[in-house]
Amino acid sequence: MTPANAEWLPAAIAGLVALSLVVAVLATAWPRQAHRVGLLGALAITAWVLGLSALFLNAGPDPEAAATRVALGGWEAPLGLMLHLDGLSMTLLVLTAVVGLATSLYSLGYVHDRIERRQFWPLWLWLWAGLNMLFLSGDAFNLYITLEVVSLSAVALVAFTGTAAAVSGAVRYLLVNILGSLSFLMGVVLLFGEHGVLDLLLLETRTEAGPTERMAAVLMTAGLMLKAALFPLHVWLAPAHGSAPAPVSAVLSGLVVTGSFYLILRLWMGVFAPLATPAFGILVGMLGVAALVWGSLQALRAGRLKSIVAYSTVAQFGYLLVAFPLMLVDPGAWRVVVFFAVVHALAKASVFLAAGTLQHAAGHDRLADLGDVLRARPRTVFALGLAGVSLMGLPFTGGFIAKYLLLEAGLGTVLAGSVIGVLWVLAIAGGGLLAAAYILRMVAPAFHRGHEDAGEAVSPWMDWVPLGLATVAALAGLAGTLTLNTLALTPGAP
Amino acid sequence: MNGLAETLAHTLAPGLLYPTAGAILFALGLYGLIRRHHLVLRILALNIMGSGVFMVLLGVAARGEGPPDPVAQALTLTGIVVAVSATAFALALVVHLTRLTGHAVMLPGPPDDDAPVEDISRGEHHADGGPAASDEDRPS
Repeated sequence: MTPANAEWLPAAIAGLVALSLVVAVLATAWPRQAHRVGLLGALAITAWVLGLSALFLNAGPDPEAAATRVALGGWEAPLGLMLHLDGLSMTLLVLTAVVGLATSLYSLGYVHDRIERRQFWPLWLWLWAGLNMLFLSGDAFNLYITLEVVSLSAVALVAFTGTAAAVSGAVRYLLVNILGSLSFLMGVVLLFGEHGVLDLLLLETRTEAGPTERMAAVLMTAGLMLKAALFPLHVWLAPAHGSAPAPVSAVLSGLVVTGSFYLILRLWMGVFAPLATPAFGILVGMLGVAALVWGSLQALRAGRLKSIVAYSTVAQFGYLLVAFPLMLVDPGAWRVVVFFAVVHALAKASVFLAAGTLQHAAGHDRLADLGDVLRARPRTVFALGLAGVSLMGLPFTGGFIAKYLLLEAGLGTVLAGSVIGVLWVLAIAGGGLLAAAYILRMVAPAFHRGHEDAGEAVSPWMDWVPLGLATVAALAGLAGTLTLNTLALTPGAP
Repeated sequence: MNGLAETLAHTLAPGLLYPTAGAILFALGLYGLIRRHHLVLRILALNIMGSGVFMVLLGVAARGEGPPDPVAQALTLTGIVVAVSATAFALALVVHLTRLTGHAVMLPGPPDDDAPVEDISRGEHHADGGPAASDEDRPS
């Protein structure tokens, strides 16, 4: 570790939070120029995150040295708020920056009405700032606050179009989110009452498998599962994600849901690690299998492009649940899970953006009548297909590496003598087949003979950004080693 | 009846009474949220749940010897601010929904396959009836 890096890193972490907040405030205070502020801000935040990751990776191969804690205002824990950067948060910050930049560029073309632009950009920048703070926060109560920042701006974005369906979806989303937050907060309160600290690392050293911890674990996990739309608490997802504008759906399905999942993972790797038992792992894994089957069947039945994509999010998150029992057998498997979530977020965001382009061109997203537009827009269909291939997990894409590693972990449990491991392996392999079925359903009309009609003209941003993001998702396989090595820089994790 | 309540209050230490009452409020609020369909009642139910959480927080902070933990009170104040903002936002959404549909209840289920799609990227849609974007405002 060079001394210069070590000095710069805390400043760079605090600076990222400050920068994303300043950009959000500027866009709010200066709505006429919100899109210009937003574009410059998106570029600045992305550049800052990439610089931060370079600093972080050069800080040294020692996990304990690489992870950095920053005491805001010089107040150390337990009284002060700590910012915490390790391999896990770094990976998700980079993911957020990539998807966020793509969504911002896409929105330049998508949100072109002057008044709507003034409303869209501040909300989206607040959402991004909230996500950055969520990934950097190391304090249980502060996490609750960032969760609220994220969910309130996300709800406002869902209600953005102002139609009855959108507002109703937003109300449902808001009630679910508040319920999830309150449940999470109740868990935080129980932990605080038992141990008197809120800092996650301090909590981790003090928790043991007691009744208060169990209660807190149930409340916090249930609240976050509700927010992450993990089966069986997923029913709100399709109305909210399906009725939102395309860039919003991309961010919701790609990043917001991943943010809640990140928190579940972080808690169960740290504070609640003593509570994880094999029976609990099997229960969660069963939920994952049910999510895979149910979500895929709904995606096969849905008549609208965006509904198919929304249900596929439910199905794909089943994989993340299936991975929990694997993590109990092979603790190192959590890195594969995060890599899978990263690839899923990239691919899902580009599928939603491509669906938005098709919807814009055709004026609707009913799959049965989309054939003409699909045939006339090969670039968008290629983006849809490329991201879809990554979701299915065909070779040479990021999704393939992620699923291969998951399967390997699953087979490892079978070899370790676990009979139930066979079910996990079957679910991981079968889920890919189901994904292939509903993704082919989306792109198949493009290969039928028939009339071509490009529909309404789309801006170059809407034409090219989905393809760019899909390419990134497919090439993520090449960055697999880098991601897994970054994740290894997480102290305390196996 | 009054005597019974007094005895109860004396028997239960405040460190136990408040968390228990808070947990009961939390459960009551959850019940109301699930059973009621009117959205204002649902928002009220969420507020009751929130009060339950804060009561537990203040209760556990007052447990033990010495003055209560000030951190818990700071957290409660922050939590109340968040709850008030979320409630205001939720009520605004409900007012908007009631104007659109005439009822303060959620539409059932996901949008069906034949519902018209509101697409803000298309030219004919303008929020609040505002004017279309002029050419110099379009991003290049």
